[in-house]
Amino acid sequence: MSDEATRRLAGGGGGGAALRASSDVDRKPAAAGSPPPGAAAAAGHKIQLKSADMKEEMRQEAFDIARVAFEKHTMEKDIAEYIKKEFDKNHGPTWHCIVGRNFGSYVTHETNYFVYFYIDSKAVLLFKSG
Amino acid sequence: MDRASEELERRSRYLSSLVRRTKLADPPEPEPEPEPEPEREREREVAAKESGGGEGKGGKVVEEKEVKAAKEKKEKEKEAKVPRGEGGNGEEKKVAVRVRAADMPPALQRRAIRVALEATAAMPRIDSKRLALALKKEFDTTYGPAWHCIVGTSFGSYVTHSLGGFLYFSVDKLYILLFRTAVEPLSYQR
Repeated sequence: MSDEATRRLAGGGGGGAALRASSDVDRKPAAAGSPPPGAAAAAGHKIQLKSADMKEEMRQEAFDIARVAFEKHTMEKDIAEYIKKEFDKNHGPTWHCIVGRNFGSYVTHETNYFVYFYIDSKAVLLFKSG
Repeated sequence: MDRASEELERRSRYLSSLVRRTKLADPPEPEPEPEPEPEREREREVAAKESGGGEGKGGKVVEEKEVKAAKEKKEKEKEAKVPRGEGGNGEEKKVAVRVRAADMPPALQRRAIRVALEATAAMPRIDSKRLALALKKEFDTTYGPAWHCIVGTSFGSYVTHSLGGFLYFSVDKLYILLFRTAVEPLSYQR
């Protein structure tokens, strides 16, 4: 995706805000159980990029941080918390993160700060706003 | 029998996640590292139907889960028999709405719930993205940008929201997260 600096969020009258539809995940929850603890594969988790308005370098960082989050935590909200806090720390506030198997969303994000990808069977939505 | 067994297992995990979520909701969360403007924003995490985590517990607990799951299955069957084409008023009465967490004036909460109910009633099959869009547009238009909406049956999240701009509720088995963030002027450079 090309850079679109003009789509940065605008204040004032409220008009001109850059909108972006993202992540319509209607897949039914899988019956697979959670992986056994301490049995992390050397290959890591498989990542599949779905949609992005983010530079390659930052995108890769998101993938790496997500991998670490999935290693450290099992609950979706803990994974989301870890990812968001890492990005707030590395790239300044304010980031938001959604992790799950089944969700749809509609958000407003700052230009160049949006990524939506799958890691294994779960979707991760990460964006900056505010 | 495979299908029924699978259904029971799914419901068992769902109930387990409910218990876990309830427990997690009880203790007050310590405030994370302060934001640049702590008075204006708060961080908040929500979880709907968490997956993962150990499920191997005492036999009694397992037995209890199965009983509850079976009961819930019956309830669902009753619910399924009600024809979809019924009037909106009747359908609204049968829909279970619960506010899970909120930092939002009551009037806005009622509006969000009304919009969600109207949108779901208008959809033959619930489309998470369309519902999220409907809610976001309604709130962006009525209360100013920027609002964000997440709709689904299985997700966890961690977000920072503006003061008075957070609502997390459920309509039947659908969970809806609606929150607001501050909008910076275009000239602002972080």
